[in-house]
Amino acid sequence: MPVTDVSSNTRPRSVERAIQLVAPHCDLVSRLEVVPPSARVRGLYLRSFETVLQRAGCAELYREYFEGERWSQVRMYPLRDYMIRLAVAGASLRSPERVHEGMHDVWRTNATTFAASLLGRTMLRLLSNDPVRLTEQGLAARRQTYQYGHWEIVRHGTRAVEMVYREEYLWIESAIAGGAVGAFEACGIEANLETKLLNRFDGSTMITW
Amino acid sequence: MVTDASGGPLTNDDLLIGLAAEGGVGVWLLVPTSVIGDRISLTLADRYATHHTRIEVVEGPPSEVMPRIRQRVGGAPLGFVAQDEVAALDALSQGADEVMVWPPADDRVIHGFFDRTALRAELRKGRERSRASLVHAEKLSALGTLVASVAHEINNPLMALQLSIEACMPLMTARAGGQQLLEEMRSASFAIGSVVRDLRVFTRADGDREEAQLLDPNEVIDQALRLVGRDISMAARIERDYAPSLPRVVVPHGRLTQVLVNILINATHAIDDVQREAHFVRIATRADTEYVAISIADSGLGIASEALSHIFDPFFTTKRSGLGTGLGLSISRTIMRDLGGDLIVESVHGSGATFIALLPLPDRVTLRKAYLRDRNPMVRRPLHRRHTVLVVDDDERVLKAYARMLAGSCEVISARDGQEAIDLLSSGSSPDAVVTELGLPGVDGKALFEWLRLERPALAARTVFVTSDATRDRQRAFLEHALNQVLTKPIGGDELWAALVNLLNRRPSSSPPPGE
Repeated sequence: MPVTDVSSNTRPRSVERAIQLVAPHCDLVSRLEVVPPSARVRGLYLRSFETVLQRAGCAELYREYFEGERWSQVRMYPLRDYMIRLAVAGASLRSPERVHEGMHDVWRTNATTFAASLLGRTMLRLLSNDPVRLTEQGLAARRQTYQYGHWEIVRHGTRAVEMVYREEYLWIESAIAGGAVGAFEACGIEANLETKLLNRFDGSTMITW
Repeated sequence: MVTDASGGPLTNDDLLIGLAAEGGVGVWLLVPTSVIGDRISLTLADRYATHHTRIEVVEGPPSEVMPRIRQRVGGAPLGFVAQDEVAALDALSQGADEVMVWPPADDRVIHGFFDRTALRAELRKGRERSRASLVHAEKLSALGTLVASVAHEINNPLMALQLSIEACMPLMTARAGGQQLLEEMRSASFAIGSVVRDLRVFTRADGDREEAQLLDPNEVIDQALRLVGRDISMAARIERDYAPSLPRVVVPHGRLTQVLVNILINATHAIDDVQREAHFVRIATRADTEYVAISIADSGLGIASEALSHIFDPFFTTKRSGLGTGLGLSISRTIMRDLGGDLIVESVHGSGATFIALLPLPDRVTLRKAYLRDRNPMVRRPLHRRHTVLVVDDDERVLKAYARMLAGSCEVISARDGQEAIDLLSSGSSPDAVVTELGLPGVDGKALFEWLRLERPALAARTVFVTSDATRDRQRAFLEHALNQVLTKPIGGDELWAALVNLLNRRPSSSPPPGE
């Protein structure tokens, strides 16, 4: 049934405490300072945290801060809200000290989260098991669900593609890298994925098979 | 001392970079090339991601270049990065809207400078958009009035035709093939009625205030296809991939139709743009527990990736001149978002485009309200006894059709306007029910009803209104207050009969009719 909004029922103090939980272990605070208000993300990813954590039996810490939040899967929400919850979900899944590993694993489920959503089913039908097509699907999904930055695909011959990220405010080295790994895992494609950073907000994942 | 990003001094020979919007609506910044370092380029890419921008290099000292640029960009916001405070003041006196002295104290100064300049661009863009929207809205309003008027002119003879055909049907049973011919004629007349009704829904002038209705999305798609499907089917195969048992939505009918028609028209244009052996337009519907998705895919050329991010911007169009204003998709997405959903597009250039309209499912309260409002009150039963019905319409053909339709079961008295009806009633006629057109010359249906409420309250409660457009502001307010049943022309015999049976077989109520 339809979802009423949203993070407004989360008290600002909870958000502050959540930031304090992960701030010593990642650069969340300085990232939040540079994220423009126009950067937004669809709610389907925000609601996926609860599902992923529950499935792993690790939702307790996350709920301590964000219990009862409801997000519409289709509406766009501030990326800042998403980043805070992603970091806390990562901390909840592993531990605050291993927040990056946690974010990597949370994002690992993103491809299947999108593909299972109504938008994903309507847009993609199924995730492709062709590496190039799958990368294109990833780009298309990203275009429809995140409103900021720029991703593009660069072809390197017949058995290599590079997904290039520009102005990506999320953690490329952990979260985004996990997303790439998860998409290929979900489709059973054996590929070598190597993610590198140019700086905090620019980087790429080289995919070879 | 003025320094560049690397600490070196700036000179008047530095090149300037202007960042401007196409068509002069947007942001124009004059920035020495030596300060286009990491911080500025990052900020530019991010902050101006939503603008139509291009970068242009101009040569010369700021004091000479800026007035020249101002002349070129007209009223577009112009920011200026100055070497010192004196230069900043000069720039302001020469027409700069925002200035920033380089080097700034910290990044916040850069962000503030860009944001203020961008805000000016947004305000300017908003003004331009409002002006164009107003012109467009006026055109649509005029078109809506025209369609309503044409619909009225078509509906009266069409209704006479339909009722006459239905009256003929029992007479033709003995003739071989006659019944079938009449059935085909009736079906064709209903098709004409559907087109008129669809057009009226699409061009409804009061669309913004249109009431939400309980709708089957698949039926609304079919309705939109009736409006534009002919153009598509001449160029492409229409494939329907509808989900069975799709949940119903509660949205304004006309608004949803408007969005679907816009997308289908776009698909038609896209198909025209590219030669293929076989084209298709594939329409699919899917749902989960929160949303219904309507996807419309075409086999046209598709949308280039650089155009994808601008496709919903007002006035952005890739169509040939004369094929579009660039407002259709922008309006469509606004409508979908207003309805709590969204409209998205995905395309691989060269392989067509797919538009997906997402509609929220109603909550239980909304659903129940819409159901109660929408449920069909018609019950097909015979009349308990022979009744007399007063029919009021200014079109002789409609009056004759009523008479033929009801002749076997009722006595029919007819009047050509409200005054004639009042005269008949005052002279002793005592019908059991009244069927009156609302829009009558002189004493109209509303005035007749007011008279009935005062003089014949029981008959007022057994009055059925007939109208060509129940959604017009004045009529809608009146009809909501009156609570009587309303039939929209062209009405079929079954519909009229059911309305009368419902009224006339009803037991007399112990409570007084509304308004008494």
